[in-house]
Amino acid sequence: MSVSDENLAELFEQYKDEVRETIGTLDNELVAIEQDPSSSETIFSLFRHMHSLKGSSKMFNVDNIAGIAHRLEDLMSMIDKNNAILTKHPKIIDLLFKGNDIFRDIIAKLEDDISYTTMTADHAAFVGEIQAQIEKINRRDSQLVDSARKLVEDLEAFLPSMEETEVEHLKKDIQELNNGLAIVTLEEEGANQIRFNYNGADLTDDVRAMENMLAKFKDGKAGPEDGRAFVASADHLYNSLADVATEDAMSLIAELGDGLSLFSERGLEMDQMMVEFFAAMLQELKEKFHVEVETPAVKASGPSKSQASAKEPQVKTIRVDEAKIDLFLDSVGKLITKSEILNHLQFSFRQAGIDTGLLRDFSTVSRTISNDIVNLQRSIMEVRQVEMNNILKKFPRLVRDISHKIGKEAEMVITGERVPIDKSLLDDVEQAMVHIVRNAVDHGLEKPEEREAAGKPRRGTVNISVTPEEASIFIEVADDGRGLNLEKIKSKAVERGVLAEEQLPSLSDKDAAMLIFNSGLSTKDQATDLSGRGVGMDVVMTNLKKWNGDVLVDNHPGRGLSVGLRLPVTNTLLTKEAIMLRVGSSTFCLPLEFVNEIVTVPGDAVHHHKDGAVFRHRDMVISVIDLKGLLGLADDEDLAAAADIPLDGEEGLKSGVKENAIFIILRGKTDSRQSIRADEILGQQKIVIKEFELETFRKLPYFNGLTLLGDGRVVLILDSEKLLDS
Amino acid sequence: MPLGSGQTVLIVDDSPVMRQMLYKMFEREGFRVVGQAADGEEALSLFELHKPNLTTLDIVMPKIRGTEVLEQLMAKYPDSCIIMASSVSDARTVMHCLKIGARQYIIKPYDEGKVMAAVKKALAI
Repeated sequence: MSVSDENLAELFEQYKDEVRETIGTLDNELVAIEQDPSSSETIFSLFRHMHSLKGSSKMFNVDNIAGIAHRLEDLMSMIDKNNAILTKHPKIIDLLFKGNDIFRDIIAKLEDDISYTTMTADHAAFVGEIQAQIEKINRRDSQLVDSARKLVEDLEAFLPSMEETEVEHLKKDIQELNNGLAIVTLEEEGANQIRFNYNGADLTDDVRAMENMLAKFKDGKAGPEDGRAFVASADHLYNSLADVATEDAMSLIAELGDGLSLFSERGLEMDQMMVEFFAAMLQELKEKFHVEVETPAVKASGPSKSQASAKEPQVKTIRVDEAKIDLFLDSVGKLITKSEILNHLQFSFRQAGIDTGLLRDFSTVSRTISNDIVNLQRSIMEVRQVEMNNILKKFPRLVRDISHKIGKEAEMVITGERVPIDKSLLDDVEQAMVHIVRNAVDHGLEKPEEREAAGKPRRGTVNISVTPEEASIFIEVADDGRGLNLEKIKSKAVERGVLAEEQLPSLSDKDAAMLIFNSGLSTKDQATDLSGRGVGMDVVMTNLKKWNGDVLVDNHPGRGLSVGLRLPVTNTLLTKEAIMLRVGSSTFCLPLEFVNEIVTVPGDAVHHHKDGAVFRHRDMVISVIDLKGLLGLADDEDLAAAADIPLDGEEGLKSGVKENAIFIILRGKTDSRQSIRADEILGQQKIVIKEFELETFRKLPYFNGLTLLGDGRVVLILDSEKLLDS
Repeated sequence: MPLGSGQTVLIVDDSPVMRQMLYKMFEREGFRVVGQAADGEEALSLFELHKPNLTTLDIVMPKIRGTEVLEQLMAKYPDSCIIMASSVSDARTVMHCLKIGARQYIIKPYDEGKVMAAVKKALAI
């Protein structure tokens, strides 16, 4: 009758998640307590988290976390009783931060090595550090006791010269003070034998007997007669004390007596709980005797380590493996393709002149299936969503660490923690945000003195807000620092060869601000250990683009900078609306999100230069990307037409040769004025994107995947970004 | 033979993993877990709602501490069967809880054997 192995292994994953979450919360609470060390609410919460951490870690035999949390709990409990400690010993906060980092490290290592549960030398050293801190606080208290005692002695020496009544009065006071200080004599016999005396009664034998029996219980070697003997010893101790104890000690002893009767009344066995209970009781009694003795560490009788760490498949868990959801999504993807087959069949039936009643039924069914599949896909997408808090909770700590390191004062304000985001986006979004937030503190915020001189509060603010939008979420990181110095950025860009001098006049402020994400310019802080990843901003931005994310910069010189990220709520990578187009004899598809506009232009309005073709549309000159040339496509019709084109400069018009031409104006990161020419638009449909599995295909320059059409044909998907860069 | 025969249980602990662990133990033994509370406030309202046959009560929790929850419950429902399940092992707290009416007190870490032994005794009283 114990928790079976696989259940424990399954719960172990949950335990680790819980610890991770606690670590995030602790970080934020520590930042808060640093700003307001007197907040008793935060102090209690810190205590409570250490306590829970200890409790659940003990349960899973993660001794290192349990041990450290236990000590930190002791420390927090002292602070909980006396808030002033934190103000007197501000170093404690650093200690707590360090502890949290150790927890984080242990949880990370547990991922790879499930036996990483014992105290290392480093852990032990840290526990020593906490212990030293606790002693330091206690020393203050004992100094108080010492000076009180000194006062008593001085008064006693002074007594003979006083009036009788005053003497009596004072004597009484002194007696009370003595009692309050729990004056207890402690005498040593030999080198290592400590005796316990209380107001003249020698309690050593009782205490020793009880200790010995507790040790036996701990080792599991005790029988029922030991239990009886223990109760007898405790009883004896109680009786001996009852005769001599002062009032405050009596209440403790009364409690011990109550405890004994309660235990026998409720039929509690001499199990680990009893051992702990009496160990605590003894410890308290000893403290009354002013003898420092370490509380015996009671070895957990819970499930053994090998059980907790068994790597077994988690068959019964309701936590769903991300890979399984992906597998499920994959099946949904296949279903979408199947429903496109239905659409295709419907089209063929109509062509073949099938009975309209039958066709109507068929199309109703086909539409219903298609809707159901879309709903299915949507709900499974929602399963993948997690709250933004997963990322956000680490930022207060990050801002604190950076600002401390570089001598700035910064406050972090976060709103929108509960906004959902697709789990697969988390890592990339987090990386991007770390960069942006780091930049905000490092470059954006001014030093306190500089801020004061500018009439701003000494402490700068970094504001992260997450706002849900219809199909996307908007994450904004805004600081109230100095903003960007665009002139400096521009000259640096030229200096580093990112831009040519002559490009500067036509550069908009918006584009200039975007230069901060250019790898050639944002090198300054990449070597710092603050992000710990060493990934450049350009890589981060590329990753975000992968998810169809958008980056916006809003610069207010002297007042601050705001960087916005707009991301799709769900991972829309897998299915997309796309248009199908024919170029020459080939069919391609292009996701709708890359299409700005589809225009039909009279053949004679297209101007062919030697560098390519352009046409005019709504007062804009749109250039034409030579898709056929890029892809090496050629069809006879086209080649023949090309032969007619007189390629002689701006006057090289090709007129009247061809009917209207179709151009797809592409949507790009800037106000794109580029288009591709299609010979025919075949339609619009939902496609399921398959990434290339073969390395050879991944090297294809202008495609990013393929899709299966309803009629079974395989079609390549055009990559608009790469085309625009061509 | 499972211990519980449909008796209702309320689990109170601020740690989800602890609640899950207790939940599994009780369900396996034929009890019916009717509620799980993550703090003292929730514990009180779920107790009012379900009037469970048995309650396991953690101590260090947000909002209202377990000891206070115990006091309030004992004042209103002196016959309720409450088992303290906490990692608070200090003598005073243990004694205080037992004194005001907790039937049993188990200290973390516990296993199924220990929990069920305490349950057996608590229900027998």
